[in-house]
Amino acid sequence: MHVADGVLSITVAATTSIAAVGLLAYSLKGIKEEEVPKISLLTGAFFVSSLINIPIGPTSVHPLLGGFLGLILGRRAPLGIFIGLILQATLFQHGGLSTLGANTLLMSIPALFIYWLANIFKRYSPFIKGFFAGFLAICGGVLLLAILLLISDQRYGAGTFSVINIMFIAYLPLAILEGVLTGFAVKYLYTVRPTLFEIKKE
Amino acid sequence: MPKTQGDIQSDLVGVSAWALSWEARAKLLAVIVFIFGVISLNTASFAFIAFFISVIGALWMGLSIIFLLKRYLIIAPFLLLMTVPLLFSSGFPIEIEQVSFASIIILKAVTCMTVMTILLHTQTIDDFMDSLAHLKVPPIVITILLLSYRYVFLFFDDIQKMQLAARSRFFSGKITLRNLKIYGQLMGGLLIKSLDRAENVYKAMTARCFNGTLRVGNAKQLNRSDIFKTVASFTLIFALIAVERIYFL
Repeated sequence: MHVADGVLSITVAATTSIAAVGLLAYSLKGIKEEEVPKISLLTGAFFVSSLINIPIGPTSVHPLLGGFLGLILGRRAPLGIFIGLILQATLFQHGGLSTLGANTLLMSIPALFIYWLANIFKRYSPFIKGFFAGFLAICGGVLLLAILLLISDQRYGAGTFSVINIMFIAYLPLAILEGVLTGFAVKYLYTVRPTLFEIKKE
Repeated sequence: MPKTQGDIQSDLVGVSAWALSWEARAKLLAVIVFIFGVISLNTASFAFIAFFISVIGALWMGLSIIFLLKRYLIIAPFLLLMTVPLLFSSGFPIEIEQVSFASIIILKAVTCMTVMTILLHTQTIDDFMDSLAHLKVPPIVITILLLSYRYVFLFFDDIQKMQLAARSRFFSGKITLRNLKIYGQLMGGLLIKSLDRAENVYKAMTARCFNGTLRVGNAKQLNRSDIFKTVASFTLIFALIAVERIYFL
């Protein structure tokens, strides 16, 4: 998610910034020094993976990997997402400064939800888990964005071809694509390095 | 995708001396306050004044119009998604109120982009990252940020080698189930590599007395000139907000 500056109202931008600080505090709680290199390397790897462009007709899309981060980093996912967003803002100027908090929440809340769900639905195959992680992360992010837009200004939801309706239509195929991609990546990781997912037991 | 750190780093050629000498933390604080100030504006005319001020500032600091226009292209797709449906939400003819609302969003977004460009292209990214280390942020966050920043360039190299290897096997990259599987395996492979490195990196870091916090150099001292530049930017945006609130709302 790269919500640009100016789209959200000052009230929403300020509130989400404060809420993101709270979420980061939760994510940082109990962190051990031996986790630091692992989180840093995984954040860097996720950031670079999210830059893989997949061509679709005349344009291309890139994965967001929020759900994947949730599965692998667990409660540290908001920290990885926050750092990833700062890197995106500084290296490529994607996203905004006033919306950094909102963007962090839009990706982190679904990631944490997926981490929680993955602990409940343990018996499903890695591909199915990965698919739902990727799919739900995008759907959750778009749903949260729609809520933030509506709180910012009701005009975002006005009319049949409203911003929110168009956004849902545009993101649905991307959510399916992200789901399939995450499904294959998780299946591969389960095959090659099954111990990786033991982070959930923290 | 960028190839090296040099592809991303701004070269600072042509940036004015006064912009280069502006202390990074003072500059960051000025940018944060200015952006939140711009977001709180409510009228298109005042958003335009803020945009005008930011562009004049950027040109004064040595950034070119072409460079700024290229930056605006980055946010163009998202802005179009957010504003074009707004124009047609109440059908035809397009209402002036909708045009005004869409204009405010676009003006605020491009103003903030201009200000962010000033922040990121009037100093090196290394200087910017170092400045973050001297802010009152938990050291562990700064440590992870600085390490991730370093590792990103390592992984750029890895992923490009992987993509080259895939292309050399006639991998076209189009959307098919088989190709998505390959993309997924590429991502998985990158993560495995990063995990293998994590163990070695941790051992190397603990051997060098790493205790969760990276050592960074001393912060540059703020001087009167830095304070003046930062206060001047505060004054500009607060004056705009005050005039708008008192006389135009």
